[in-house]
Amino acid sequence: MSLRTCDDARVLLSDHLLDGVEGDGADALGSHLAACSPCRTHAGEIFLQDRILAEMGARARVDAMVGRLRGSIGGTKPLALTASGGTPVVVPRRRSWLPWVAAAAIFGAVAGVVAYLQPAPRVRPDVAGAGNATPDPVTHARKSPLPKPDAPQGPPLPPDPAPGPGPLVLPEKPRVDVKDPSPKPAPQPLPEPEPVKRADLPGAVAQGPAVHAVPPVIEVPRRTLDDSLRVGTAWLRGRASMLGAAQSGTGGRDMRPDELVLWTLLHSGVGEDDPDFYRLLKAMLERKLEGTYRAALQVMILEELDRVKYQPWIARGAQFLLDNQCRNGQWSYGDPSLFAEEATLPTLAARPSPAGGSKVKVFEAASAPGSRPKPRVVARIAVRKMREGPESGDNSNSMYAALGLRAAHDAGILLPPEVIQLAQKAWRDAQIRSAVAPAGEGWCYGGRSHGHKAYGSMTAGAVGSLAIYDYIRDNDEGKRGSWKRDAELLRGIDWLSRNFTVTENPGPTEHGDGKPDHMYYYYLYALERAATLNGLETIGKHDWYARGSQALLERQRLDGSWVATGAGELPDTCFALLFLRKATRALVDVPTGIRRK
Amino acid sequence: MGKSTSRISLDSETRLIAAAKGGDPASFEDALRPHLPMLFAYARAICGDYHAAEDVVQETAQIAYRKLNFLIPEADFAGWLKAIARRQALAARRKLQKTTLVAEDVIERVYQDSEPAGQGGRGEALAECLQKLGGRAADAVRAHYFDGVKTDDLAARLDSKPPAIRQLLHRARLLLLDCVRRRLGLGGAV
Repeated sequence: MSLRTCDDARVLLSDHLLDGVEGDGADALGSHLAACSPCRTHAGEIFLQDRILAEMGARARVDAMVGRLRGSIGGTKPLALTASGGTPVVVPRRRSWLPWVAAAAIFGAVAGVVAYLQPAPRVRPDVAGAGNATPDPVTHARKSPLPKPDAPQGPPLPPDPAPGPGPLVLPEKPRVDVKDPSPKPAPQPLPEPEPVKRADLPGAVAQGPAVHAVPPVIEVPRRTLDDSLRVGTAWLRGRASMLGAAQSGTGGRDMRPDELVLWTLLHSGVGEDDPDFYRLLKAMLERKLEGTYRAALQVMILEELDRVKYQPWIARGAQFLLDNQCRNGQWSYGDPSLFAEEATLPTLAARPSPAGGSKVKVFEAASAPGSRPKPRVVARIAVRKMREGPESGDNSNSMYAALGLRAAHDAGILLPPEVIQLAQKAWRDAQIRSAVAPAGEGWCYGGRSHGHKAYGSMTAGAVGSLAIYDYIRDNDEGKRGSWKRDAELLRGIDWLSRNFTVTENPGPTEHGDGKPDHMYYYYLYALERAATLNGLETIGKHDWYARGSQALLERQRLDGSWVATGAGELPDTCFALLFLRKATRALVDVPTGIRRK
Repeated sequence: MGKSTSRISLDSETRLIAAAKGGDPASFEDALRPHLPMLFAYARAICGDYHAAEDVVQETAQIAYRKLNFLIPEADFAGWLKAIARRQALAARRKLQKTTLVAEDVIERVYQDSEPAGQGGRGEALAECLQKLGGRAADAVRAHYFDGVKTDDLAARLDSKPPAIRQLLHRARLLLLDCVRRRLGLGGAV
């Protein structure tokens, strides 16, 4: 069937809106609309009119719709965001709470006496406007002679000893051991724009004063950090043992944290020889890629795990990311891509037999970035973008897409240069400009026209993402170190420096209802990436790792987990552990043989 | 008369969702209510059937309520609902044995903004033009869009044949579009 004129196409479009056209008619209409710009514009207007009329009619029926809904959800509650990813956790054998309650009471009393005898903590004034901010929940809690060790959601679940490394020993609660190892910095006035201190780039920043005093060294107490990592990892492993049951989700917006847990476990020394890790890994590989966050994390996990063995899966993930790039270069939550699903994948080998059982090899603080030995990449796989994504996305999905693309690049996946350039342009376009900073400063969740002010998590994510794209382009174009001279990136670091804090996600966050701890741990992990990817030992004059670690140790809960407003305890614990372990690999590990000719 | 379906502020929505996450269905209803017309229109555009779209909206609302704790606060509630509705509508479309979704990119563009459609005077202009249209054409538009009457039933109701009804609705659409354009000062050529 062919359509001779635009009028034919418009009649057919009208029929399509009425009853739908199928077969040849649909093909002909689709082809015509794809080729004829005026008809596409007309179709847009007709669909808009269709939408207005449909909404007009539906508005009169909203009460009926709500009434019908009420009948189906009345008396029910949303699923708890639990480790099983949608199914409320059922503890198989419920043990008595009595010993735990008794232990907690004894511990509480001891901790209370210790807290009472210690001098009152000083509030660190490293936040602009901290004077009128909501009190820091931890600091606030410690003013009380008796601490409130319980999480807001009630007492923590006793850890399941079966798969984990054993029950937690409550008296080793890190908070009691936290000692300020050095005097806290004196109160400072509202920080001025500061130069960025790079470990390898002295005096490279064009703006801001040239000289700053060396920051006071804050030493994180080593034993306490080790304890924190040990207890936190134990908590995470306990939860990991319960993950992986339900697999149906809501596509790209399915926020089950399986991949984030795997990513964190991987950086905690847990590998394929661990039964729970392998079970989650296998489920991940067998699952259809549906969303940007999870696909990006999958690529990162596989590249970190074994970029040669898993290269075909990494290419599949890269294909998904390319096919979900929005027209403006950002990423949104993503939709399954047929081109990724059609990838030919080898059969997954059997689980490596554990030699002497599961081992957690790394409990020392802060494993050195890039310390896991990487196999040499011998083959390259080129991928190309096969379909267009939606018009625009958001900076949260986009920052994870950047991490995934960096991992794919390091695994020998050849990414189309235009995708990388467009992605980088989107970050530059989204940088917020204001009367105060016309050249640009930080980032928010949407683009520049989003009308929101810059804030910490998005700015840190942007700084890391721009560095990644500079790095990929350098490798492709035979250059070096562009990320050290990127003006937008440097202005982003300057924003982070001026607004530096590790006690909240700085700036007015979006969707956070004004809570300063909204997506707090997500921010800290973004800060770790921003700093590591840019080779920063300090951000401005702030020792981000020492301060961040200290803040994390103060906030860790009795059971080893962390939680703030926004993400939930499982993702938050992952973000906190990733920060403490300095999980990001610096931009120096370019595998041999993948440089584009 | 029920509550308003006009868009509530983002802050109110955030508060309602927070309450709903704690198990308050009434807060969920209040947060959802302003988005229902858009969800219905979107579902109908994808699945191509009025009654199936109503079911899609119900399913979407149930899934959204059940999975509300999976909605991260950074995310846009309307966009999240729309993503669920899209999946359900595509599934409904498959059940109806409709295979090809024509002009999907156009649909997505038209529904990209989750705010109620017809802002900037277009909605009022369309309502006035529908009033002005009158006669069988206006009856056909109202029956199709507001009551979900199928083509064959509409033909019987208007004592006509289905092809004539298709032609009538096609002309009505063009007339409405032309009228709205003139009222908005965009020129009348369609």
